[in-house]
Amino acid sequence: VAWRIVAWICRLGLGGVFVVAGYIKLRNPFLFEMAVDAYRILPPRGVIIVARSLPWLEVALGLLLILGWKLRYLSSFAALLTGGFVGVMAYTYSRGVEANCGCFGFGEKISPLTLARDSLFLVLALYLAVYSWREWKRNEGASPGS
Amino acid sequence: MKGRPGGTKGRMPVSGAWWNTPARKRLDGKDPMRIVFYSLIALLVTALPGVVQPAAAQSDTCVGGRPTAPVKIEVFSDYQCPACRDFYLSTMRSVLSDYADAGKVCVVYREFPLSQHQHAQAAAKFGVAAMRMGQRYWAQVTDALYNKQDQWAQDGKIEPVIAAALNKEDMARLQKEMSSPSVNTTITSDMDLGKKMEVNSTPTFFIYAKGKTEKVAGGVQYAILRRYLDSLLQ
Repeated sequence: VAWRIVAWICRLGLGGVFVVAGYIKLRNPFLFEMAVDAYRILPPRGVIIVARSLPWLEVALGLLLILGWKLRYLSSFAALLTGGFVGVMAYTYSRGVEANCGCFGFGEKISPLTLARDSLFLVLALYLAVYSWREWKRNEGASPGS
Repeated sequence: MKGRPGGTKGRMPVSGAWWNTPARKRLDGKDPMRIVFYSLIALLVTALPGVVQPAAAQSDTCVGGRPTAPVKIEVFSDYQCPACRDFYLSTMRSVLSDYADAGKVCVVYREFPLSQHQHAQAAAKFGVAAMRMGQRYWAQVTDALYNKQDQWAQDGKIEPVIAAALNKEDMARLQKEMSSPSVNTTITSDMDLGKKMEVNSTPTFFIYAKGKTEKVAGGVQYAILRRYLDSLLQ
């Protein structure tokens, strides 16, 4: 029961975080384009594609996580996405590029603190993914058809 | 104070002009107009240092465009910083030609020489002095400093780089401007302003438009900044 409660908290917490993060970016798409561009990884066209699609993806993912739909797939995808964020941020920080994180607004510089915070989200997403796959396997094993 | 304030004509006592009466009598409180007038003078004298001082310390001189432009971009930059060079040469120069020259944007450059850059302070002095000569000179000096950054950042020989970009007369004027102690004061006040605005790295720029201020740390490609500026100017 305790693990189930932890999984619930992770699911609702992560879902909320994704919805809020996506909503902030949707409110000012041009500023988010500049935040993505500051990472100096993508050409302008790539920056625009990422900046215009990522917020919608975050909002959709957040809502679906809150609803708990196809949790094992969505939590795995959330872990991959968060891992990607942490990786890109760490890479940018290690290159000494001064850029805004762009995670929950536009004035926050990439720092060990932002890396630690996003790593915490990654841990939550990983836990949720492992938990939901285990639950699915257990249910599959318990079902009469298997 | 000399001369008669025309705005009070016809409202003075019949017994004589108010500026000929003794001060104590004038301030006896019987004529409200006098009290208002002296109050305004007192207010002006009190407020004047506060109004004048920041203007002298923090000049909002546009290096491109007009101060009345609907959008203002304020860049905190260091002449020895490679990211600032890239940002100026690939982004801000285009902003200056496409938006500032069209009167849509006012670009303000603030000096923010970082301590780890040995020659940045000296380069900043050239930038400030050139700005005092005018926008064209600032652009010439800034182009030269950024284009030859690799060269002077190694040996610290900035003057030959600038001399190659200006004619003799202009160079002499620039050197005269640089000898003014207020050049250092401007750099110090720019840096103080940057620290107050939580500038921690260069380039950092602020975009002021429609009553809002947005802070962006790091350089941005022109194609991306242009989209944001167009959205603000719609």
